[in-house]
Amino acid sequence: MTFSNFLDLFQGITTLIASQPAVLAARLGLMLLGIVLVYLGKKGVLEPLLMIPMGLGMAAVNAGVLFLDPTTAAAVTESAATGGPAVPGTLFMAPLVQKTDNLMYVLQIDFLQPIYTFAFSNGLIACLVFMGIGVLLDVGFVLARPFLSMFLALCAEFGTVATFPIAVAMGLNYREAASIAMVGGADGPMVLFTSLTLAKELFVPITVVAYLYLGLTYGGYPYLIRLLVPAKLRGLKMPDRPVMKITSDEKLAFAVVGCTVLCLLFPSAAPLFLSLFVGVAVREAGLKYFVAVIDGPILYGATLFLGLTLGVLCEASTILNPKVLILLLLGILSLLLSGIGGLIGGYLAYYFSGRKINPVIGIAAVSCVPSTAKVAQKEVSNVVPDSIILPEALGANISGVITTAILTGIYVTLVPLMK
Amino acid sequence: MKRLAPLNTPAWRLGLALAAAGVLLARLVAPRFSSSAQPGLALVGELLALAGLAVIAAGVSRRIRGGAPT
Repeated sequence: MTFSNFLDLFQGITTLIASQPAVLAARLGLMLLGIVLVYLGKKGVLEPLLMIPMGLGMAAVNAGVLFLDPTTAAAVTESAATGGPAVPGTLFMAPLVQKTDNLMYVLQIDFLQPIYTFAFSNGLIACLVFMGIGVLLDVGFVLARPFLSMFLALCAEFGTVATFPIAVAMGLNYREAASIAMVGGADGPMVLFTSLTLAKELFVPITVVAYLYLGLTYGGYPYLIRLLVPAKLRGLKMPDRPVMKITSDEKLAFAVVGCTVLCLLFPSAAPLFLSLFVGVAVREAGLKYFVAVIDGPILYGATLFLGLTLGVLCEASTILNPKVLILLLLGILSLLLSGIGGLIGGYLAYYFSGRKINPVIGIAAVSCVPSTAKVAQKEVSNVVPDSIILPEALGANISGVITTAILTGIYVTLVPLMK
Repeated sequence: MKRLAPLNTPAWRLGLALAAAGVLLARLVAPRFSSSAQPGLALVGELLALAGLAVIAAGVSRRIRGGAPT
């Protein structure tokens, strides 16, 4: 029995000591970041449903590195088994394995590999989350004020559109630029879907950046509203509105027509459209058992495994990619521009309606459902407690989801054609 | 069938027709044209299809505001 045998007992520490300095620093940094995310999730600063599994996964994957046995190492690295130096790795998942034989082997070793292979890398988990969002949406809010909702939603896509050329100018290729630009749409499943489709090699940092920033919209957008909209305008009361008498048949018919038309136009994003509208259809058809399954086990199960898988994908090697810093900058820029675009839309609606529409509604068109609508209402209520903008804000919010899905369709259809 | 009465309105009929025409233009007609005309036609078709959805939404909105039957 030698000293190295004792070290083999605690291989997480041994592999840490044996790492290159950059990897060592990255692993320690990510473990710390993971713990901070759990803390911020628990405190409610970031979205706890996502951040707690993600943070714990991030800490665990960077701590639980061991020396792989030669057969597993050969499967993970997709090379012939050799007697060379021990290869560090984990028993969580191996996202880069491509060959079928190696994949079959890894599926029996790494405990999260089945989730990654069969639900994550094909976009299923994004679609399941989107289905859950569909069940939560009431398209009646959009149908009640279609032009206001759609106009604001288009304005709030400013970041999604403007970040694309900026990202290209900063050295990203078209596929990577489109993927990071989608952060401005503020819809996690769509960022995941776009980056999996267009920039698979960067989908981990892009999606992690997106979810981190989406968590921050709840904390950051109120400051943007206070900065750009004076208190007098924030407290503006909306005119009386008619009682909504939109039947569930109308909403169901609209969902069916909308889904079919959008799938016909953008088949590349058809899985997303179907997922969203099947949620809406199930809700409006009154299928209570399906609603209970989708907005319970499916939505929350998918969110849990989405967070966990994203956290586990945050290995040290991921953040050592020099493009991550650019992605961090572009992600926040995209969300900021979308927020500003939404508020500009709100101001335009305010002026064109004869100063009747509260401009704060504009920020709700950034499609982070329902966070931005809640943020808008909260900021208005802070100034005038009995000023209610939530119905209009939700209409803009839901339109934002639909326009972001359309923009996803445009990007995943057009970007591969760009040379 | 009475429940489906709100769907039997000019706005729904016009919206559906526009959406269908737009999709046909974008997905069936445009690909048959030369590469120079194709993107423009496809774009017109896509906008027409989205306009169809907007017409339906506008019709519903007008109905709940108590306007003329649409």
